[in-house]
Amino acid sequence: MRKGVFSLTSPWLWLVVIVGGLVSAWLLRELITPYGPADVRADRIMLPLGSRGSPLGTDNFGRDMTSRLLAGVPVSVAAGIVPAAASMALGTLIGLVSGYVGGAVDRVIMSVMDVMFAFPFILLALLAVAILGPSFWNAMIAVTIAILPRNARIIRSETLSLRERDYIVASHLSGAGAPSIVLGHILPNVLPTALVVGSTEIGQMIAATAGLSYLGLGVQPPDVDWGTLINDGGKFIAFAPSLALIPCALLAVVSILFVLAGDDLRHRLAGVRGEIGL
Amino acid sequence: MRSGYLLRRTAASIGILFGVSIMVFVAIRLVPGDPVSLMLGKADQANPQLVADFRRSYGLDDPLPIQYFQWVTHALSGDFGRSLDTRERVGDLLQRRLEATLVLASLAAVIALSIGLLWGVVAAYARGAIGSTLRSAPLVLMSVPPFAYGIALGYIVAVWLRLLPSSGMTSPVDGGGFLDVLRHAVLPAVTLAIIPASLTARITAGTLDELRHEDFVRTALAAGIPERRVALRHVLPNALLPVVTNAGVLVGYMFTSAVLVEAVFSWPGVGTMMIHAVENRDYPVLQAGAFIVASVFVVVNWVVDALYGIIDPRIR
Repeated sequence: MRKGVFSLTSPWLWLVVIVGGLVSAWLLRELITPYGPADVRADRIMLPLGSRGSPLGTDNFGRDMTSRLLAGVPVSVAAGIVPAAASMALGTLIGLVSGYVGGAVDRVIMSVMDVMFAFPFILLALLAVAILGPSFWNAMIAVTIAILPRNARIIRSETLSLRERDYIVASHLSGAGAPSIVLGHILPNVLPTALVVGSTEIGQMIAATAGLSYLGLGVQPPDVDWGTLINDGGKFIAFAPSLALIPCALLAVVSILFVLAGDDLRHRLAGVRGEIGL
Repeated sequence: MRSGYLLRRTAASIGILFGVSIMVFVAIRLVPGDPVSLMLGKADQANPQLVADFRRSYGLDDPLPIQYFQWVTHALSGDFGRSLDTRERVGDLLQRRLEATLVLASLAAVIALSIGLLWGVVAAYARGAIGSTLRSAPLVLMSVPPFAYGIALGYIVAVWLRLLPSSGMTSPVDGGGFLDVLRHAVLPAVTLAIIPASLTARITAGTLDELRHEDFVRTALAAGIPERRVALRHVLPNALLPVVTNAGVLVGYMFTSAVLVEAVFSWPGVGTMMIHAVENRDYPVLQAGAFIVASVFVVVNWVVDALYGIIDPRIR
């Protein structure tokens, strides 16, 4: 029914081509441009697009934009994958314990999650940054915390429905202990959901971490990512629009590709496992 | 029955509000460093009399539960202390910023709901390539971070076409009137509306698609009622339900977008206030802002639950 993973309309093909291309360009950056992302050159200030040696121009400190844009590649990929994976792992742990143990433990854990859920995503992230201080790692921790209540809830409800299945009840009756049931039977069955939900969140996490950087609360100078580039370039939008518009476009394309690929995965697995509530 | 449902939701909301207040209180106390060094200026810290007065006036020598109780009772009477940055009363600052965000958000909500609903209906009923494009576009639009839209729209409309201003809420010269605010609000409101509109379109299209195959629709069509009338009178009212139940999610998306959009367009709302407070470690503002925004969010969800009970009698 659904087309192959690598057909022309599949987001996976484009994800591999575009993100793979960006990562390769980053790996080969020394061949592409002689300038480092933080190399300040007073004689090369605000060069336009297509300048010799700096095809994507330079910023107000004479820093080469090709090099700066490429420096944002590993940051963005990490900013997507690390928080999505960490938050899903933590959410799985919380959801399994809460859903399987039940009772007072479940009530306490879920009350805390409900309270966290009362904060809009960015408010939770802002509070976390306020406590931890602004840095790239802390921005990743902040978005991990901000998405956690959602993940814990999803895994908990999966665990609750699995707990009542015959084979779980049977293994319980045959004397299996809680750890062996949770690890041997429930965890393998919630993993597909965790994988799918986690992968749909990669794109959101890229956008969210870049958002914190844009607000000056993520990556700190002299390090760069697309969020800081957009912030810096935004000041010159009237006479050097490419400084902000190119990182905007890169960020948009990469976020879209990860979101579409995650959504595609969700549809592919939904046929096998029933609809996954999002 | 009905009052039972409402009562349960009200009790749960009050419980969550209580939790929110504890969480905000604890979060601010988790910030490393002594409140005295955070809240008093360098010169004031050198004066032991001032430090002692400060500790007493903020009750810093009291046990934590008493400090919490003090803070909540003050907050409930509208006293959130003073900003460390401007020395302004936090309550006044918060009221002004909330009004500005509300202007932006209500304009954005009108745009988002009208376009989102219309889009959802057209997407659900359009056939062929147009239909599938309209159905998949909202997810793509939702994936782009709102500040990227802000930069791009700001460039096109304010820099390139020179149609509208791209920063602030009023013009410094002879500005401040209703039309002036409206002119400044158009760009940020449209930017702010993109993601909630996409979400609304996605929800509406998805629900309409499910409803079309329901028995009551087939019966109505079989009874000879024209398809357009079935769509408008039988399907659409049922499709509004998930939009109402997702209003809480929409408001959440809206606030998250608003923080970023306000930053792009220098809109003097709650979002820019919070960012400024995080940057400047202005803890009284941060504490009050987080508490009020989360409380508004809880109240919105409570209203949604109450409305849900009225619209859909099955869940009472």
